[in-house]
Amino acid sequence: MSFTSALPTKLTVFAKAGKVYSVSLTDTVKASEVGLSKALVKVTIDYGLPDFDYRSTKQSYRVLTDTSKVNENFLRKITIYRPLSDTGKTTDSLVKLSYKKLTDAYKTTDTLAKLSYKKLADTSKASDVITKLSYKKLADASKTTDNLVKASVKSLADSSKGVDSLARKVVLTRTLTDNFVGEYVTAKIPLKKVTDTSKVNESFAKKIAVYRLLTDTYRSTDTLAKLLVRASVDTLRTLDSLATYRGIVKTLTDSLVGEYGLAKQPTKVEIDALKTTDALQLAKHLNLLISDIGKVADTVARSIVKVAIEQTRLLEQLAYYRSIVIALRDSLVGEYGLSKQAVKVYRDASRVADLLSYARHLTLVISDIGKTTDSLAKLLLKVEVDALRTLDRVTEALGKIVLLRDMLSGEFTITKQYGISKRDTATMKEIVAKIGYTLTGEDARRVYVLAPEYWDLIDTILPMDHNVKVDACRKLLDKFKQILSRLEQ
Amino acid sequence: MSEWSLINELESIVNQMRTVDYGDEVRSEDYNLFVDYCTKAVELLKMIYNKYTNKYGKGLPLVDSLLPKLDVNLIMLNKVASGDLIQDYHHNYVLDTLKMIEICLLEIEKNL
Repeated sequence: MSFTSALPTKLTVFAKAGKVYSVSLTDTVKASEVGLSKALVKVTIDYGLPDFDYRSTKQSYRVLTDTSKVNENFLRKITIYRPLSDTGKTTDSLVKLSYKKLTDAYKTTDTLAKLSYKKLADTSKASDVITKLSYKKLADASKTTDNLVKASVKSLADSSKGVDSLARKVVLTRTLTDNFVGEYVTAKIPLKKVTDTSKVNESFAKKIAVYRLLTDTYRSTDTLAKLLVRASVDTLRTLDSLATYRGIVKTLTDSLVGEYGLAKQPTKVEIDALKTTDALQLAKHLNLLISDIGKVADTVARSIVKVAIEQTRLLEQLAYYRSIVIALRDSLVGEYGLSKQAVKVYRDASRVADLLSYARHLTLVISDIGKTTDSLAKLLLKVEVDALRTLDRVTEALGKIVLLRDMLSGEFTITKQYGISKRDTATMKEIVAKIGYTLTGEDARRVYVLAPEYWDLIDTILPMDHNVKVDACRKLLDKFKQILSRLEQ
Repeated sequence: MSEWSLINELESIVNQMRTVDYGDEVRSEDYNLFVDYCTKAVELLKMIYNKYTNKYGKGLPLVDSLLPKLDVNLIMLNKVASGDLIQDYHHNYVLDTLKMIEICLLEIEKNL
């Protein structure tokens, strides 16, 4: 094959312009023809470019290998030593500078590596990644977002539908700007593509000397953990919990900018539970933050010992550590109402058993609200079991029970019932009572004058009444005589 | 006055008493005879009872209890004038007095 005859027209023009080319061409099957002129060495010397071993250079940068329908690329810079390698139907790779590396792949974006230490890795339909500084690393998974890392140490990993993060360090930013203005625009394009597909907001933090991190999430809640101890629980339809400790916040902000994305994910995964409550664990000496929303009960443990257990149709167990109880008593008086709400909610649901165990010396506060029953166990020994539709029990120490008995004795009013007696006494009014007797052997009767309303009961002195008295007088007279005679005998 | 003279007076009173039938009028003098009779009878009873106690040296509780009542009844037995109505208590006092006299006499006779 004659190379000269196969050169494109415009290349021929360049050749006629006095440019001398030193061409090494390797064609394999159906390769494109590249025609280049000769006398390359002189030009190289004029521009002061290093004299590279053509052969060796060519071998080293053959990276691109494409198959089928590859476009030809011709680079016609002044620089010499253009390596060209065609392999089958692959794409042409042209390296113009010694350290420069250009890779074209079919349907992909161009990747331009302008410095020697750049690394580029594309997988499948990935986006372009441009690494402009030596130590950058960039990895894109399929359909991921573009990441442009300009700072040396920075590492960024985005998973699918993730958030773009662009962090620039001031010192490096200027360097990049000076050197890669044109590159930034090209690099910007893939970022846009990623954003459109994932519908995710882009975040750029470009402040000087500050690694400001801005995160927007789509339909999700962000959890920002600024403390090492802080744990945030996001549940479905629940609230976010943000615990910040001032003294530590600054430190973390300065150092953990790059780790934001990583730290965020595990936090969510760990704490999501269905319809559970928020558990907010703070450091020991933090101020307590409690918030109740909706029908959810918050459980706050200030001590390390605290364990909150939530299950479906919940059974809560709240255990306080003794030594900390006193502190709770002093500081959590106002908080009682909050914990009480939780009890209510659970009481309403059947088959719920609340177990609250306090330390011994807590001050008892019991209040019932609504139609539910609160159960509070104040002593360690207290055990409360709620079965279905059963009642609550409050078991206290024996000594307290006695006191209750004494106090309630005065309220016992059953004895009052015994004092009540009911008597039915019939009062009869005697209208007419007659006393009848015999007088000297004959019936005699007393007579009465009745009230006007009883005049119908005629009771007048009859002739027989008079005659009885007359007879009686006679008989008594005879009796007198007999007795007197006997006495005188 | 001896016992027998009282008996004679009582007999004189009784002889003056009359029985009546339906339609007859019981007059005031009829009632006044009962008053006289009761008064004399009680006096005679007391005299006989004294004789009894003197003879037997003992009293009779029943008689002792009735004699005061007889005195009360005698107070209530007042004579009526002509034209006065004879009330029920007039009849009843006479009847009660006679009954108590009878009881006393029977009690004395029983213990003779």
